[in-house]
This record gives sequence, structure tokens and C-alpha cells, in this order.
Amino acid sequence: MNRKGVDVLVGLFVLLGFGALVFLALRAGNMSSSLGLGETYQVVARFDNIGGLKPRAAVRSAGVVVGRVVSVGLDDQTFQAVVRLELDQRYKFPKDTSAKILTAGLLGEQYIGLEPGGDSALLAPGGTLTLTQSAVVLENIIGQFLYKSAAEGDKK
Amino acid sequence: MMAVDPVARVLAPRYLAAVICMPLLAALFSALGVLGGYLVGVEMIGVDAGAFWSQMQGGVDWLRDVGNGVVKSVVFGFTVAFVSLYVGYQAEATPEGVSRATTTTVVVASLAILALDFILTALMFS
Repeated sequence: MNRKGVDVLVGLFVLLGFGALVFLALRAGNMSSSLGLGETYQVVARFDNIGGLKPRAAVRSAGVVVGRVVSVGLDDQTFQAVVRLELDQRYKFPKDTSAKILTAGLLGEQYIGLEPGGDSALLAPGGTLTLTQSAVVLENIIGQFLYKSAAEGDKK
Repeated sequence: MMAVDPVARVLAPRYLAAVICMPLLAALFSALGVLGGYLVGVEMIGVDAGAFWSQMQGGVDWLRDVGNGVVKSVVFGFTVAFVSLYVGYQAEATPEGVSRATTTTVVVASLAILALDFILTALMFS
């Protein structure tokens, strides 16, 4: 095979490989590991029970993704879960925003839903969300249901 | 070897070629896998194209999934190239020597890739 033909084919192969990488980056994945190339600010929320919430879970408000969960930890003084959220700089929330842990679909992944309050003061970077609602733990509900139906069965 | 430096003329170009080709091939195969999924899912089975791409974009993280695949491919390229070049270089200069070297290369490289894959996955996704 002549040298020039081989070189052209090799060059085409390299271009194809890079093209595949670009395709994967733009079409088949989200370009950066976090929200987007925008700026973010961090806030903290404390929960009694986070259920199955994992880092990199979505933070949504009105269904729109406005941030990601950065980390999850335990405060061993108050024994509450301390969740660090990273929110998009474009969206500011009032100080009395409440955070709930919701499930996408019935048994899907868990995410944090933010419901804005009515305070005129805004949440500062590094601030804390004080109004929180913990995750629904399915086993507790099933236990309550069984206990209730057993109690009704005894009454009859 | 006849006043030709074997390392520079024989070993190094093949080594570099393997190491450079592996990430390109990995990217190509990942992209073709996604396109193949699109072809079967959307064209043949009738999944909604918008739903397909939005779920794909939501589920695939470029740095962690595709990037890790490319990093793994580079490591495997190093390993396979090293094993094959080493075993080939030490082979006897007979036809049986060549075939024995081929078999040894395949066996050792497969096992090495298996072990490295396990270690890399544990490191990357733990």
C-alpha cells in the first residue's frame, strides 16, 4: 500500500475518534459533571431522615432542576443529617424556603424539592434552610398499616 | 540486530500506536453503542426520540462515564502493548516460537486486562 494512502486513512481514523468523543460529549451526556458551566452557591439543609438521598441527586423547584446535592453527612451533636446543596447562581430563594425529600415516580430516585416561602430576605451563600421535611420511609408506613389493620381485626 | 536499534525501530512505534489508538477506538465504540441503541430503540421498537436523548443525557455523565471508559482504554492499551511486545521480542525465531508467543500473549493479556478492569472499576466507582 502506498504511504500517502495509508497516512490519509490513519488521519481519517483519528478524526473519526475525536468526532465520536465530541458526539458523546454534546449529544449523549451532559457536558460538565455539575449543573452546567454556570456559577453556583452552597446552602445547607438539616433533615431527620434523608432516606435514599445520594450525592449528585437533583434539587428541584417547581419541577425544574436548580441544583445538585454535593454531600451528605451526619451531625453527631444533634444526630441530624446535614445535606450540602449547590444551587444555580441565577436562582435566588427566600430565607424561609422549605426543603422536602421527594421521590421521582413511586419507587424512583429521591431528590430534594424546594418550595419558596414569602420572606423578602434572600438565602445567602452558606446559609441554612431551616424548614425541612424528612423522607418517607416505606417500611414505617407498612408497619403502621399492618399495626392498624391488626388492631381493627382484634376489635371485631 | 543488523545495526538497527530494535527498540527504536520495532518496539517503540508499535507501542505508541497501540497506546494512541486505544482511546480513539474506545470513544468510537461508545458513540457507536449509543447510536446502535438509538437505532434499535427509536427506529425499530418505536421509543420516542426525544425521550431517548433526554434520558441518555440525564443518565450519562461525560466525565465519569465516558471519561472513565477512555482512561481504562489507555491503561489496557499500555498493558496489551507491553505484554505483546515483550513476549514477541523474547520469542524464538521459529514458526513454533511465533505461535507460542501469540498464545502466551493472548492468555497473559486477557488475564491482565481482567485483573486491571476489576481494580480500575473499584477505584473509579467506589
